[in-house]
Amino acid sequence: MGSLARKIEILGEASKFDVCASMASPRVASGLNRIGNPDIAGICHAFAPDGRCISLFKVLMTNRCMYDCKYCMNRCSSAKEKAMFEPTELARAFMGLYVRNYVEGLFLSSGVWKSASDTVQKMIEALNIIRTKYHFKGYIHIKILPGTGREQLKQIMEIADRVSLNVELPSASRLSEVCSMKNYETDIIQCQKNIQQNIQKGLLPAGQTTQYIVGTAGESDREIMESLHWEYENLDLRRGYFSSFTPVKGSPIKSHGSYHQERRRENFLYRVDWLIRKYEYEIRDIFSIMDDEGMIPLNTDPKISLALNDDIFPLDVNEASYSELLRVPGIGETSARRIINLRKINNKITNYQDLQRSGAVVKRVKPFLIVNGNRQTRITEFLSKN
Amino acid sequence: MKKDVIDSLSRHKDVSNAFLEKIKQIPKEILENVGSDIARKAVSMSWEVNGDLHEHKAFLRLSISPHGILYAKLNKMKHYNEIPLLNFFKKRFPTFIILFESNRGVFATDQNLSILTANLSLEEALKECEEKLPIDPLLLDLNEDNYQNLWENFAQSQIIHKRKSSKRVISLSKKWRNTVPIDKSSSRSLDVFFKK
Repeated sequence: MGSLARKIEILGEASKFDVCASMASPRVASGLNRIGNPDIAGICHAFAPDGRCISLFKVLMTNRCMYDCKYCMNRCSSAKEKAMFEPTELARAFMGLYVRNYVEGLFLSSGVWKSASDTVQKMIEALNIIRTKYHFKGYIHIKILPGTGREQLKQIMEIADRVSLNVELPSASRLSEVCSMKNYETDIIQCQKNIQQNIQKGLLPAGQTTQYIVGTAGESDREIMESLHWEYENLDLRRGYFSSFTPVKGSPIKSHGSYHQERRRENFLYRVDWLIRKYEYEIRDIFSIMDDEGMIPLNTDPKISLALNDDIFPLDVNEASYSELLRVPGIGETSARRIINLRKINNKITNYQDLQRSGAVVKRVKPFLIVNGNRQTRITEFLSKN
Repeated sequence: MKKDVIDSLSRHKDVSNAFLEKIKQIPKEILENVGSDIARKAVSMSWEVNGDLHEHKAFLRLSISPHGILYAKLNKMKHYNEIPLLNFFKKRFPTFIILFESNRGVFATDQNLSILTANLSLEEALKECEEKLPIDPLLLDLNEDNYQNLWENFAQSQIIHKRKSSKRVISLSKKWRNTVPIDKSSSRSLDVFFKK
């Protein structure tokens, strides 16, 4: 079957398109007979050459898969070398790396080998070794396989801090274009509903997330955001991730846009998702800046597009409320909070230097804020510079 | 936050007592909101200290002894961060004895989780601890493989070559570069020159 190092290479590579940014859980690890704790966030143990943080031991249990999803590098028709971890092997590799401070936790996914229940059983065995033999109490994120049964789902959720099930595409019709074997309703949505029910019973401290592939089936940004919004509203989703489709050698489908366009699209989807989750924007605000084909224009930052459509501007920096300041391009949560805090002790912003000190990006802020009675008026010039 | 800034500043290698006293006099709102030049200097210095600590949490690799000891040399530490770092790892690995050696001596956690300092080398401290502690068979299990090699294989496997971007790459200070995966495919071997 090959050495452990080779398996890590194959099964690490097979998981590299899965996105995971979170690595902390609200759970507190108590007691002294344990290894690890899950409550530390923001530690990256290495960076990939595109700036991505490598913090979790992100691998597949196996890259053998019975499905033939056209977008997936692990599909059954792929000529990639196949491998599979034995549960003890995976547990030993992970624990060895964890105690040496190479990784912050485990992110385990898998291809569907034989059946979902067979594969999930192997994953549960590995997790049980990690949790019981090695007394690991740190962070574990498990990717749920489509079609996982209720009982196994519950077992996983008792062990893991976070689970996610990839929706991949925003609707059943879009999914059927690239993967005829998966049933969108029963394999994905119903499974997410089962996860939600278990969360409501108090399992899984860090909740569930999902991931969309961008640019495989001609789906629009509007479709993706509608689907994600539905998931937020109905499934208590913590957040969605986006991964632009990167065709690998022998891939039966090609990317719809140019590679850089799809990467930028992925980036803009993250930005609008952030605006909804953190900056109090409504989904209809996001729809208002999309073009007729339901795409977010890639030539202007979404927050600037939204501000240009908003009639609350210009605002006086010393009178605007916190939520109004949040809507100003160039001002984030920290700088908005600082401006409000300074106001409380009668320290008003009187010039752009004060604004810069608060953390705001002055060149972005200028057209939208009145500072000491002044405001940059030539917005076209501003846009051409950005 | 003012308390945190002062706490970090006190671990800065170049901070003077006079400067610390000045910072203590600044109203907390001004300090927290970086509302003056001296506040900015203080916050920036505390970031240097916290950055140094954070880098060690992320990039310091520990060695493991099957006697239940984790140890490392802190050759790259710029500020006096040994104790917070020890506290961090102590919280993470309460069953282990943790030993760090810096240019100020050896810092260790004992079995009661209190922190000890000693004027020893790491090797001496390690030997002393190993003599007193039995071997844990579970940890022998975790010493079988070459984990540096496994880590390099894993980190390499995560690179998406098509996404390499000079704009997005996070440049680390030279001291930590060896902890970041090096893209083998782009390394220039002498063969390239011979072909020319």
